[in-house]
Amino acid sequence: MVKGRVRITGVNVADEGTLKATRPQQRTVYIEEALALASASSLLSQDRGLEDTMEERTGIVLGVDSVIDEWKEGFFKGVMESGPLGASPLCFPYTSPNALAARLSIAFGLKGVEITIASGPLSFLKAMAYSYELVAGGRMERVLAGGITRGRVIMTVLDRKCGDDFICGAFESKGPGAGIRSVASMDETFSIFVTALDRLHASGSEHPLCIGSSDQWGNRVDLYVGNERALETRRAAIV
Amino acid sequence: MDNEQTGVGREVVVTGMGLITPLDCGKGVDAFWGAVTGGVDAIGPVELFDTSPYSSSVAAEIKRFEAPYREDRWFAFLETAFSMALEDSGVDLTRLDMSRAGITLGTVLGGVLLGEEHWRGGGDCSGLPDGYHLYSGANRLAETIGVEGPVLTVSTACASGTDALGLAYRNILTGRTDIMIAGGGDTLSEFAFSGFNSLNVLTKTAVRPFDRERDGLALGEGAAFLVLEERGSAEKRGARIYSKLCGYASSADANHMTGPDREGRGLAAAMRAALVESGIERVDYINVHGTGTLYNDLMETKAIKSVFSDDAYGIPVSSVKSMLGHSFGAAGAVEAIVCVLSILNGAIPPTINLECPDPECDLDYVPGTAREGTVGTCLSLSSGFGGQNAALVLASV
Repeated sequence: MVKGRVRITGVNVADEGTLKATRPQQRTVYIEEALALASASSLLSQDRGLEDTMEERTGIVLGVDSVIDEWKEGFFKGVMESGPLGASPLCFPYTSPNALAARLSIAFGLKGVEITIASGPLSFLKAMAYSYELVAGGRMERVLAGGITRGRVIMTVLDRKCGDDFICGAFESKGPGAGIRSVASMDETFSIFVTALDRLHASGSEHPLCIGSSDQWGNRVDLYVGNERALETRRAAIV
Repeated sequence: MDNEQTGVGREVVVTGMGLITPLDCGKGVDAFWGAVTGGVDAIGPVELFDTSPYSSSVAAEIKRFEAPYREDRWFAFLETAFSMALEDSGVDLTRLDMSRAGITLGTVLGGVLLGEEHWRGGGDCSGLPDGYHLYSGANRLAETIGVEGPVLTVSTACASGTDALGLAYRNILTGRTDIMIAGGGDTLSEFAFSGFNSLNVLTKTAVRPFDRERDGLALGEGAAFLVLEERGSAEKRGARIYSKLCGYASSADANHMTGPDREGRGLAAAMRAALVESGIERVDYINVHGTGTLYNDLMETKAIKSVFSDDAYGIPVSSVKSMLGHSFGAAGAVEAIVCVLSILNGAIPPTINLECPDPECDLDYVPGTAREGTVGTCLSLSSGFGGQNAALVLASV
């Protein structure tokens, strides 16, 4: 499998402050849904290459954590309190973790790969790792990859056309490893990811940064992110 | 760089299968195959919870199965199917490079029975038991055998099992792993029953895919796993190879939160992409999603015609959900096993309860009775809430 260059062409983190600053265009059931739509909308509207990309070649890969549990609880409490009439047909689809990926695909007409990962705190990084494979392997031209946790959403766009940062490797395994930070929530992986990108921009490092995290089960994700100089250095090393 | 790192020239084969469904209640793959080709209908009155407040009272429930703790039924199903698949593969765990082994699991509701118990007792989200969480199933299984490669939980509604197999396939193909144990599982629950009841999609009697009188789906439950291996690695250890998995694709309808694209365009796109990857143009059998709902069955018929044109009329198509109901995350994995068994045994299970064909559903749905014949290539299709579509291509070796 020939690996192509995978660029991160946009990163957007949205929280409740985002919604106060923008006027949501669509009605939503849950705040995280509104955040996901606002975040993706912001990224895709800036995306210069979208019009050149067929909808079928744009995928969505999201990591979702326990935020969904609150929605499930709300749905089932309705059943406990009022029986069958308490089961909301509006809320029931949102008890499936893929609801937000579906909502994004509908809102933006994205018809490529649609995958939701529910692997706990590492779900976002695992979503990034799979998105990298999809783009690097040429299966998707671009992927909207993100993570959704309670009150906070991160969205990124990965593609092969333009942008400053790139992903040059992703690896999933078990075991903590040296320098791997153990995380208890997906929100922490958002912070680690954004901090790593900031550090990369500040340093202009010639070496890819490893965004490595592990969870309580010993699952581990290593995501290697670098800039153009790091890519050239890495290429030279491989040759 | 060798092909282990680049993925060039790698093939993925099926070397083990295990399942538990309402047709076999954990008695094994042979018992399952006998029942599914015998056209046994597993749908009947629900015993797991009180259905009297609901408009329907039927589902496909696994009877005569004792979980160590009733509410941990989900993990008990997973463990049963997982162990069966590993044993069937004959893999020697003591000689396996665990760093190149992984697990993918597809599930929609995970340990929801534990959640129900917790909520009924007045608990909230902060104290949900570990076994409730979707990610707990794959991680508990990984601990039982000491897997050190990727452990992933996929939740793409009713396509979860198919996508879990697809992601495992990709992991091997790209050279990340040499062996993956992949599948799915879900349980029957009042949670799901009340939700589907609220959408008015539950049948009150029987599942009748492609029938003019079809009136909805029945819920089901179970778990299924397949052992997928890189072909060279499987051959090296002398494994029995059942079939190969040679194509996979996922796509989105971008259309509606619960209903499919009426023309089946998303499913057709997934089918085409999976076929292109496999290099196969025509298949001998299609195991469809076939839920027995008005829109799904018509959509699938249109998607198959769109991909195969006039050839579609000559391809046997069947829905085992007519017997098994819809087991969410398990469904795609169970149906992949049906495809492998069809290839191995040269037989196609029937679509039961198809007595008054819908004029708009005019393909060969293998009504009533199983059919014998050589099956060299199969497509297994899944669709789900949110416009999820997934397709797998399996072929004889």
